[in-house]
Amino acid sequence: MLDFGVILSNLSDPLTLLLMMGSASFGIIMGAIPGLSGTLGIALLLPFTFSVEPHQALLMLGSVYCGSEYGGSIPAILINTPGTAAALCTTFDGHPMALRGEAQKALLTALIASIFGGLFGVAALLFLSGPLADVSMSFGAAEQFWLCVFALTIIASLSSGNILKGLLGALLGLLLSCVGMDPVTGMPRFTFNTMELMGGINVVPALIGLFAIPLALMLLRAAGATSAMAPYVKMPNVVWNTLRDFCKRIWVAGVGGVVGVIVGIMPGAGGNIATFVAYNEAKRFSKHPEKFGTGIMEGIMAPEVCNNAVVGGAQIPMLTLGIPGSAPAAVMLGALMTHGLKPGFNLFTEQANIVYTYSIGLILSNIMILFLGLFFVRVFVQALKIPAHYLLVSIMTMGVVGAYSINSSAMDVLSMLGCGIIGYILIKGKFGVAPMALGLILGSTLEEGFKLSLHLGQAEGDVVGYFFSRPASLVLIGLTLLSTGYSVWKEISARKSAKE
Amino acid sequence: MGLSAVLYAQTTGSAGPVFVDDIDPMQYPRALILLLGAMGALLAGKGFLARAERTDMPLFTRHTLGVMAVLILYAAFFITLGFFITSVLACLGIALIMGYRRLPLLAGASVLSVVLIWLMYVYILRIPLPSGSLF
Repeated sequence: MLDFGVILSNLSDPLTLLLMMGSASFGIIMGAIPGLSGTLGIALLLPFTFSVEPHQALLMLGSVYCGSEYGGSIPAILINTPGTAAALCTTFDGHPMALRGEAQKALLTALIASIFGGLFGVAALLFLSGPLADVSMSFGAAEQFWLCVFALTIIASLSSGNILKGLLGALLGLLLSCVGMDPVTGMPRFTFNTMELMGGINVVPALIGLFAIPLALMLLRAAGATSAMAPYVKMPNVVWNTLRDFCKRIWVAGVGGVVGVIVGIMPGAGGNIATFVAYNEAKRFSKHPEKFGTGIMEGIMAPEVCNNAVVGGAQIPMLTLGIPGSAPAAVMLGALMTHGLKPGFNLFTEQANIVYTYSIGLILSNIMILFLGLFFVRVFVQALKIPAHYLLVSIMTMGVVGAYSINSSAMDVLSMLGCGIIGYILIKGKFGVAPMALGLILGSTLEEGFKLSLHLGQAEGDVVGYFFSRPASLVLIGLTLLSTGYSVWKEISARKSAKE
Repeated sequence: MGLSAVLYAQTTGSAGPVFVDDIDPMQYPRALILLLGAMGALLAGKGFLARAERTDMPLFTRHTLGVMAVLILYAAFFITLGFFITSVLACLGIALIMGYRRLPLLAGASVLSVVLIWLMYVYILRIPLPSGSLF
């Protein structure tokens, strides 16, 4: 039975608040170190939750999850290296803003956007659990495939000026994701008879390589400079000014929040795909889409609101159906079961106090992250004062150790370096690394969705029907066509106006 | 285009599907490779038609090649020789390539930063780093 007195008493317990604060700080640090992630943070903290009450355990893990999603934006902004895969889009505008000397504003934008997204996700978790869980049940392999195709339409945005180069980069990423075992039959591909490549190219080390190594090599070219970035100018009332600018662009936060919640509840999609969709949609709705990628607030707001809204969204199917919407939610599902809590209808009736203490507690957790973030921003912004040569050595050492720490595998380190060198060549050839990263992230999900849909279509005796007649698929196909059509129309009108 | 030719050759040795109704595991990558080749050809065609762009900056300088070599050696010996020694040597190597010659300061900073990273991973995050034959 739901008892608000019990919930209030649970949430006012000083030990609970202390555990939440410690876990949120741990989460921020885990997110901020490239190579480590919220999933790893939750897994590391799991043994420590066995001796506390179930609601405290859930709040500890939830705080790590929320903290890590925010933490990922810090290295994305400061050193152009996403702390987590979901923070990849934050590099597009966050780092250029830091290069301009506005690192503090960029970090504050990411912080406010993260809190907004977190609260948006929790609101969805509290009020939309029931109806949205029904929608997620209609999500099958075909929808997974079409969602990836829709997310791929962002290539047009990422490769401003040369879509062909963007498509080539994305194809390289998609091909790289084919290395390893076939997702359906398990047959090895492009493994060159080595056992280490059977598991495929790990996405996180590859992302570290694609973003960190080219940056470090660029720093090398600028050797002698005291820092990679312009020194940040201390602006008066920067917190309030950022908050005011954030409120002026609140529609971007709305777009990010809605995309985050919807993609979050789709099983297996997760924050990595959601942020690309949110960034693309924010750019499409913007009056100045050409400014995206040059270091504007909207470019940080959309992905940061989105990846934090995914936290709430991903937990809706986890709590209601036992289907995790993201990798950290999958580890949390394990924690839920370890504490004897079974997801589903009974959880919301018999254990309602625990579930609602957790959901409402996440609001408190996000508020704590706001204050912790304000402290961490001051600390991390000092990184800008580090001379270029120390920064270069730190990026490379952290990159190698970060890649190794994921699976304790030498192959991850080698793939990180390989991707780094490819990334450097791509940047020098004006291809950019973002389309390749997008292809690599979406590749396995896209292929799995495509092949499973083919198999299911064959089993039903109507492959075309399976791909094109399901209602959720039709919505995604419509969105893909709209997105592509809009990009083509924009390109044509831009060329026309350039001729005039 | 060259890359797609090499990759396509890799797909030809595949045994094909195990069961009759299976999809050939190489079919999807093959389609991607063909697309890559076609787009490469298109890009090359555009390149021939466009006016050549002059750039004074070479793709690889002596410094970038040196740092890449240090990184490859670091990755190759990271596990066999151990994290500590290889990391200190890599830090020193990169700094020397970049032209810094104050050896005592460099050695001190390298050892200190590597010790801090090692302590953080091993004791706080409980992630073991390779100790190898030399630590």
